[in-house]
Amino acid sequence: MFIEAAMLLLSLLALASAGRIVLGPTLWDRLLGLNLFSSKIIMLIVLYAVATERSYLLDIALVYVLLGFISIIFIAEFIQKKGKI
Amino acid sequence: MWDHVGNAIIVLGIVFVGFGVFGIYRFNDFYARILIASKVDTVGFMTIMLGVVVRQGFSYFTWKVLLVLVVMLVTNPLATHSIARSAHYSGYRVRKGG
Amino acid sequence: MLKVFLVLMVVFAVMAVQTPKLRQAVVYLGIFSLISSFVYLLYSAPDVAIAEAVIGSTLATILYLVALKKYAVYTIYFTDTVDSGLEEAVAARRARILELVEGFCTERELEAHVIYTAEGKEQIQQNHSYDLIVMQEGEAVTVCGSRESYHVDGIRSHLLEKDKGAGNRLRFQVQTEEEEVGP
Repeated sequence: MFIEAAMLLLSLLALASAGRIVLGPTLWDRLLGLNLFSSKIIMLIVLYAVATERSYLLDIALVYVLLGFISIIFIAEFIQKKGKI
Repeated sequence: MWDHVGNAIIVLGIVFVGFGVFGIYRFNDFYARILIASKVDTVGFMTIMLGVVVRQGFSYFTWKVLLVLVVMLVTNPLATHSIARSAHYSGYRVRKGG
Repeated sequence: MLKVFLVLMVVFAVMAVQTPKLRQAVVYLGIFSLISSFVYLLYSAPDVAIAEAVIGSTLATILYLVALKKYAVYTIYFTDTVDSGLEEAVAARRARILELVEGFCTERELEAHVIYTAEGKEQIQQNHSYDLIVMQEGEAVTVCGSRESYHVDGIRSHLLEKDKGAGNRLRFQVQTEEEEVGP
């Protein structure tokens, strides 16, 4: 019961940090919002694994951490080098 | 007993994450926002994971949570640093006094 | 909680289709597939979620960026030296000149990338590769184009023609002598 309430609060916070992606004036603001949003999704997956007592969901959380890191690094390098990778 | 301690730590972590989300609306220039977001969000993540560990006791589950925590602790500052480096090397500057 | 993410999914799908700038659309698409894989997880399909995370959020992002290498980026540096007058007036003047330049870019199918900076003109010319520098000093606007960019004649005639009614005091100059270009 407590975990469900915490998940609801965290999803509202994720909604608020998605607002920065929509508003953000520059492209880097949107990348910052993507970083915040993916870290909140990871917290939600861990809490969901606690609520359902299924430990294999944590593997998905690990995959999310690594893949979000790769895609953010890739987009940031792409913008910095102006289209050359 | 440990249940309630873990719940309290998770609530503390959610408060930290809430401060981070408040910070990205509070400040007007980009570098202040990225400073706030990186630090406070990483601290909130650590606190929530430690709360989960305390709540669950010591088992196979908590080792996996600690592995996620360690990987996140390495990669999240790197990702934020990469964004700020991309902005700085592209020449994005904040106007003085504006 | 599920409904929050479903609504967010629809919002980001519409924004990814409707935005005119392609690199923002790539970011929106990454967020869209992140949310959709979490929704798969909530529908208790973790195997589909892991496949969506690998393919949709990472592999598709990298593929789209490699495809965007073919699409020309038009880099514009914008400096604003004197800060006299009200904030609203300064913002309105800035919006007017940038609207002209971005109109040219959508006409030629270029992607405009505007960077606000506080460095001087010589500093930008030495340190960065640029296509256009817009310098605003009060009412007067100086536009400086790079000789390497082959859209320089087009944007010159476009700006001078559109500017007759707008009332910016606009001056156009092309970089005369090509020095060494920094990294």
